[in-house]
Amino acid sequence: MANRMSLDREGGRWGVVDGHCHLGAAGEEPARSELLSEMDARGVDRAVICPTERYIAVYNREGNDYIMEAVRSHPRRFIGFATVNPWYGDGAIEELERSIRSGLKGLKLHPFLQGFHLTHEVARPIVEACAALGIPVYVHTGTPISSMPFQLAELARGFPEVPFIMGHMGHSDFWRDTVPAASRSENIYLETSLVAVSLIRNAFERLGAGRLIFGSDVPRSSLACELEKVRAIEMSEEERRKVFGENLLSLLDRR
Amino acid sequence: MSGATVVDAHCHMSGLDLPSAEKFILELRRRGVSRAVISTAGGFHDWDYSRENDLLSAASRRAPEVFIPFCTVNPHRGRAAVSELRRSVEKLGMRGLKLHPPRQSFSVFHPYIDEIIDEASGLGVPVLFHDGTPPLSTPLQICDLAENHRDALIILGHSGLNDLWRDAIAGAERLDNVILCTCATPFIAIRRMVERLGADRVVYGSDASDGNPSVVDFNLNKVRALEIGEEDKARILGLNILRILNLLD
Repeated sequence: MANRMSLDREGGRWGVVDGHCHLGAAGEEPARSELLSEMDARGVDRAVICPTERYIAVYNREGNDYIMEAVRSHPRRFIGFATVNPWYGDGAIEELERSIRSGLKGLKLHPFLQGFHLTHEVARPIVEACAALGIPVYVHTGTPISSMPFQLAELARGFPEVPFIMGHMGHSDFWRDTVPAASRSENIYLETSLVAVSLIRNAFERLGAGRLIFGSDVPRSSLACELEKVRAIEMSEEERRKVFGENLLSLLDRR
Repeated sequence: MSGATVVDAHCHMSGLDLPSAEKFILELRRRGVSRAVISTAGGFHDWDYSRENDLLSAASRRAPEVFIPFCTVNPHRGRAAVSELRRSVEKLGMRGLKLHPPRQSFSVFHPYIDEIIDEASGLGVPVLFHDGTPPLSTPLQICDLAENHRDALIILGHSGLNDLWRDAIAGAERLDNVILCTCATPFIAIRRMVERLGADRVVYGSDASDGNPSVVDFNLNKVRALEIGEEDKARILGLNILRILNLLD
């Protein structure tokens, strides 16, 4: 894999990567400086950042521009994910390609905010573009009726070459589906924010550390609380490195 | 760490034997939790929930300084549910009612729900609802019930969970007989509910059980991480639920 990012060993510890944060535009929270100081305070070296609500739903270009600018300012701290609403059709694909050319590393989809079903044909061209670009797709899950784990698994079956990150592991009410759905496709990874530690532990035991990606969902959740939650799971140092960064980094720059 | 007394307003007991109760107490204490509202775990599926209420109250009597038992009844049993609620409170000393519409397969508009809520309010005990799960227990469905029963005290056990917390806050803003519990609710929602409703209307809870005590940590940390005064935090962490249950010294 060309240009694969490495997880640096700095100061005698492995750097933690937060696999899922939102960054507000100007005047919205969390401000870039707040997120960076929180990362510093908690020992998080890098964070995946993606736009917030309105930018996910409709103002994709503005949201992506803001993420690009943040990445340009802090290239060693931020990994940017773009978002596009599939209903924009060709425009969505053009915006995705523009974002990736400009240095963003993945796609964030939010079927509930963006008003589509993962099994709707409108989603397919976007995922085909992700396959061509060699980028992972982070999908919010847990919100019925459009973003449930088995809907993601259905989509993932059709694109075995695309890595999908199951955001929040189906939290709140689809936690029973998480492991069975992820068991169907090797290309599904589970992101740990919001969900109960017992369910992450169960997924770790059933699927292994190679399928888990630590994420905080800041500002919806607290970085400190999310870190402490996942750190409480007993695992080897090697497994911990996977969960807290290596798995996510291995999905980037796959072309 | 805050020195406030921590009372978990939303726990369950699956093992009703002495070793399970003792193990749970140790797990709670290790995490700084002094007392816990407990309701059944498996009993929501029991048609004969009176036996479960007997067992739960007996288990909690072994450690009354820790456990605060809530009974359950099923509206599908009609008047028998109403009399079981009365028996549980008056004879067994249970301090509240826990209802779980999805697990118990009833709608909050079930014809017998009104009698049950009236009975709870007549007995002076709160009703703790599982909420946040459509189609049977959205916050606004339960708030509609609270609006029809202004004398009853209704606790939304999850404050809408991840998808419906805005509904929970909206309903609670209109209805002062609705209390919001922080269990499995995202941090941003907990912050928002405290801002909008004040600390008196919010109670800490975790959904922990003897079989799954570790969920206390994350839920407790979220409340501890709130940027509010220590007095307000102490209310959320324990004083509010003790006041609601008339257990303040």
